[in-house]
Amino acid sequence: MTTAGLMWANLWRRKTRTIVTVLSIFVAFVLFAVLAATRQAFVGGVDLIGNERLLTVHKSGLIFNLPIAYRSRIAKVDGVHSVSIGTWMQGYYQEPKNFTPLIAVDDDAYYPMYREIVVPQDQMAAWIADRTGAIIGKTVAARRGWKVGDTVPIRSGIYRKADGDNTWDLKIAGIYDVTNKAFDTETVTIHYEYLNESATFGKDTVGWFITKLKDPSQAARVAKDIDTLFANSPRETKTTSEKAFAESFTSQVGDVGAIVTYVVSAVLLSMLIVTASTMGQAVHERTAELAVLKAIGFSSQKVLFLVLGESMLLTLFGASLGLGFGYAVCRGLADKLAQYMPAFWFTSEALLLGVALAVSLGILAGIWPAVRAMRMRMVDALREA
Amino acid sequence: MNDTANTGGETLVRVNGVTKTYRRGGESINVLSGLSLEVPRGDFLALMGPSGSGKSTLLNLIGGIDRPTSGSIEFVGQRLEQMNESELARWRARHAGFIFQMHHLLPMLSAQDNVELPLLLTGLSAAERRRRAAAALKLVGLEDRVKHKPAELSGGQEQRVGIARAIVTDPDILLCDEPTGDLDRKSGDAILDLLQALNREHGKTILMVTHDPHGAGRAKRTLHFAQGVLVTQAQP
Repeated sequence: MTTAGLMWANLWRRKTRTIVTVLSIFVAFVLFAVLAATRQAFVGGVDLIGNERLLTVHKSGLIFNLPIAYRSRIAKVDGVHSVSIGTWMQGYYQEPKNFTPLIAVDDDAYYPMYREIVVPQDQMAAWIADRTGAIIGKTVAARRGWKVGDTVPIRSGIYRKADGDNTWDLKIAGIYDVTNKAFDTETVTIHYEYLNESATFGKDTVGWFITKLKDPSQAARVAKDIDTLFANSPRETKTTSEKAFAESFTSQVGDVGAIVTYVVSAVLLSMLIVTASTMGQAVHERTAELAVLKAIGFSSQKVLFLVLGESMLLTLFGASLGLGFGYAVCRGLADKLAQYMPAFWFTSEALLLGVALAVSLGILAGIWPAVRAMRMRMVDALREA
Repeated sequence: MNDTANTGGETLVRVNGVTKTYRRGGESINVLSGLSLEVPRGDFLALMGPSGSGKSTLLNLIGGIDRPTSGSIEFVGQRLEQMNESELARWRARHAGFIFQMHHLLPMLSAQDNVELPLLLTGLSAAERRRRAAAALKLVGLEDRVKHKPAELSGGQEQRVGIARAIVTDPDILLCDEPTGDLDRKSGDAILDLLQALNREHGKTILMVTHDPHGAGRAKRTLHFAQGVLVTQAQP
């Protein structure tokens, strides 16, 4: 018999009640894990994006293109290290429901600019050498069973070729992976030159410019200088850091972080009530036993510790099961949701937060019964028993 | 009437002019009125009297689970009423063993684990705790019931576990509040035999509250209480 053993034994005094409470806590923390991963999918990835790159888009929105001629002018702005381009082609495989992000990029600056994206050197060389080549993410490759050397027909929801067909037959030259979970592994990238030569409209225009900075601390000034360059022109620009761009993009679907926080708070508050009720009943039923513990020498503080420990053991037990199962669920869902929410994952920070919440829940649920047990007068409790 | 007589040994407990008053509603109830008493080491004292006469209150005061309204209680020179809660808890763990009428065992623990409970407050190793609990259970004749839970034991066996729990720390004094009150005659006699043996063979000082003259007859002395005062004492 140990003190922890005593707490554990006390927990199972009313098996049904404890099992129901543990199950409630378990479900709450599974929900917490999934919601934390959802929050991460929407807002967490933004935190991982650095400030060393700027994005320049049409001032009226991403759906309007900008002249590619802007590239050389942006490159001359003081503080700019290099400039790359990207154009959104809205791809899908066979049917629109098989959404496959398809973008056209330049082959000299884009990948060197993104050190978070890793492509084997030989595959990169093969892509550069092949005008219709494509580099695809490892997740889409795995899901579709595509491999290097395959030719795959990707349809664009925006661009058609001169023959009127919107199918772009692409030979897979390389498969990329990422070192930063803020980046997806779902995208198919093709040569901008291929798009520019083949598309029926939008020639010599691009969706956005990516500017790598010499010094990230100069981001605000460089962004302003870029936009000033094209002020009062027919196609004015809006330049922000990649991080700010991602944040504004995320905010368009609502404050997911706040919504998730509210839901989790409501769930945990319910758990607090359930657990506090369980602990209250447990202590009430054991009044005489707690008095006996005091009589045989357990101090009031020790009794407080016993009840609080029991409450924390209850919540930590349920939460551990819930967080463990939630982690497994998130892993399973991550693959299925990778296409839509590439940053969907249960982070170690969220896990620590979950453990901290479980401890807090245990303390809050147990504190009042524990204080009651601590203050209980032995003589009265024994007399009532 | 005050008890100043003793059996000639070292005084273990000295109760000096103790008064205990409870407030119930707006009314003050005097449970003990200026009681003085000496308990020598090795004594076996039965406390008798009608309900509300103050005998259980005296037991609680000597056991340090209640405090006198006035007066003092000395345990080998230590003033219990001057100790704070933590000091009293430590004192109880070290010097006092309690045996209750309802035994109050923890139902989800085995006999062994129940007996080990007071040892959790000591610095003993788990193995040593187990060994001492087993020895205590053997002393009360329950060495073959160590793994049984209270629900699997008879009332007499439960009380024996309660006694083992009380003696496992080798306390100086055993405070028994109607230890046979919930048992049939046969089981009660067995418990009284055990208490007598603990007193005679192991030198335990015992204070026992009882309503049963038969039980009191096993003690070395009997004190009779009425309305908070000691009225007579008898030595069988």
